[in-house]
Amino acid sequence: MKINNLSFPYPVLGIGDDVQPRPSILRADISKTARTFKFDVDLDMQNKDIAAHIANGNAKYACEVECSGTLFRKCYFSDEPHFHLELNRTALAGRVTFQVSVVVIKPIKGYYNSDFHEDYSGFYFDLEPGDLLAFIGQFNYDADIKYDKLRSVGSFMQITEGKMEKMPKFDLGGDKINIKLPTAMYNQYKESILGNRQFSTIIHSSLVFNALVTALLYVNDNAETLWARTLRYRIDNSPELEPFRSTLDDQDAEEVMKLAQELLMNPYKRLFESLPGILDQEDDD
Amino acid sequence: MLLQRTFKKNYTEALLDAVRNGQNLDKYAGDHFVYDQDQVVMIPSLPYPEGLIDKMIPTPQADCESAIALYEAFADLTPLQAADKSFWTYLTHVDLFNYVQARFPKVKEPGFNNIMYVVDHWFCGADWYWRHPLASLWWFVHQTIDETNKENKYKYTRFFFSSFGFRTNFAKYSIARHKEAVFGYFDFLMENPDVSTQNLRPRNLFMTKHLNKMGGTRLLSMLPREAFKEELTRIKPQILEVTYASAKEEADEIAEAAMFES
Repeated sequence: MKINNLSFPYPVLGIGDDVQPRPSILRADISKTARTFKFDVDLDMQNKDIAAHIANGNAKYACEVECSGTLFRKCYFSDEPHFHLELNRTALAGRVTFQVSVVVIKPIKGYYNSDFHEDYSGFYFDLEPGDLLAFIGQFNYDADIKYDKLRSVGSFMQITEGKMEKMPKFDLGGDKINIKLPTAMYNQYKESILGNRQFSTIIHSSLVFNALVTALLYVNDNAETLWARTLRYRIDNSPELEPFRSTLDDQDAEEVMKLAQELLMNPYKRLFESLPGILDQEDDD
Repeated sequence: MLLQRTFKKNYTEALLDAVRNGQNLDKYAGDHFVYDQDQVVMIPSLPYPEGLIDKMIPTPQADCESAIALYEAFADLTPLQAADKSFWTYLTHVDLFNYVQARFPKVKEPGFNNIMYVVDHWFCGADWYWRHPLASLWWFVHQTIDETNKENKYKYTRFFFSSFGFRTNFAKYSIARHKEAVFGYFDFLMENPDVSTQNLRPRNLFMTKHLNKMGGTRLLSMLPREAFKEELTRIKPQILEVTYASAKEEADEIAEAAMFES
């Protein structure tokens, strides 16, 4: 069931102004343990007639969970406007969709709601199990994103050896933006550059920055990759990135450049701050 | 206990990259695939299924038996592990290389250079859940196994594999993720052979579209298999009217209407 501007053959709370007052999802908290995902969802549903149908067992709150990565699809029920779901971590991968509604459990003959829009005044409806009384809302969760490491460049980018490459190449088709270095360069990177804090500012403001700008400019061609989903989540949920909420869709080159600098926490500034230190070290040597 | 192995993720991507660049194609014609053993890791808690290759029969007619053998061999595989491209890529390149090569033998033809043939059969390319020679078999069983039927849990699996059309026209739809819908759908078809003996493809499309429409107003994932069977029984006269010819006529009408709309 997907709700996208649907019209039902009878009035449904949450669809347009069929029935009032509109319900909503107040809170959807998600946490992880070693073995489970925990989802706590609080709902606001103030319609008295629908609440009465729930109270007398004709209807229930329903939360349908669907995961395209593991083909998981299951419906959970509650008599209260709250869901506490614990799903095994091995059951989910990628995008998980939650749709919350109130559904009919037992047939309701002559359904009428005193808060129907006046257009429905005088109409009664026979409803069957599975029919919707209210659509409360939906939200998504991406089980692949490492939410605790969002600010780390390593969550969306990596540098690897490109055995067949003659010059550095940015591969955007995998889980991470992959900077592939020719073998000789990669060995040099591993032996002399990796782990050196001073060199990291140079790498960030050159190789990493270029790769990120390229990736952001091609983000829509790679929208389903994990790096793209991770970056989009971070942009949509970080207050400091609020001015860039439409940048990935608009693809304004100047804004993309600014966004890349924000995501890498001002790499040019960090480069300039570190250069005197590098020069001092050279003098000492 | 011997543990199942898998490729490291980066190695999987490197192998795929090489094939996409037209390299290594000749390696798929050999008796075994030469790979870098340093790029292999063990999967904790997943036992290595000895003897699986002997149960995998590389013919389309035996896909169902191979699928069940594969599913039972990896009885402890979680959906999360089954969603891992590296796992399936390891199996096609190492443990079950000879099965995949025998099932898709064009790689042994002289002058073979079809990159997408290798990508589709040895890697997780587009739509891989339904097209990968091993992953698809596992997921098809996963979608159709009826654990509530202890005596014949593969009843629906066997029916599913009886027609290739189910793989292309049913398995990938969202409705197929709801097992009760799958079972109700197949119960209807099994009890009404006049529906499925001819024109199955357009009828299959008609029925799945009908159920999807029903899902527009009802929460399908709470309905039992009987509800789906009853609904399809109710519209059986309409289903029987669907033929290849009528489906083409309808498609032509839609195309014509679209032309005049613009």
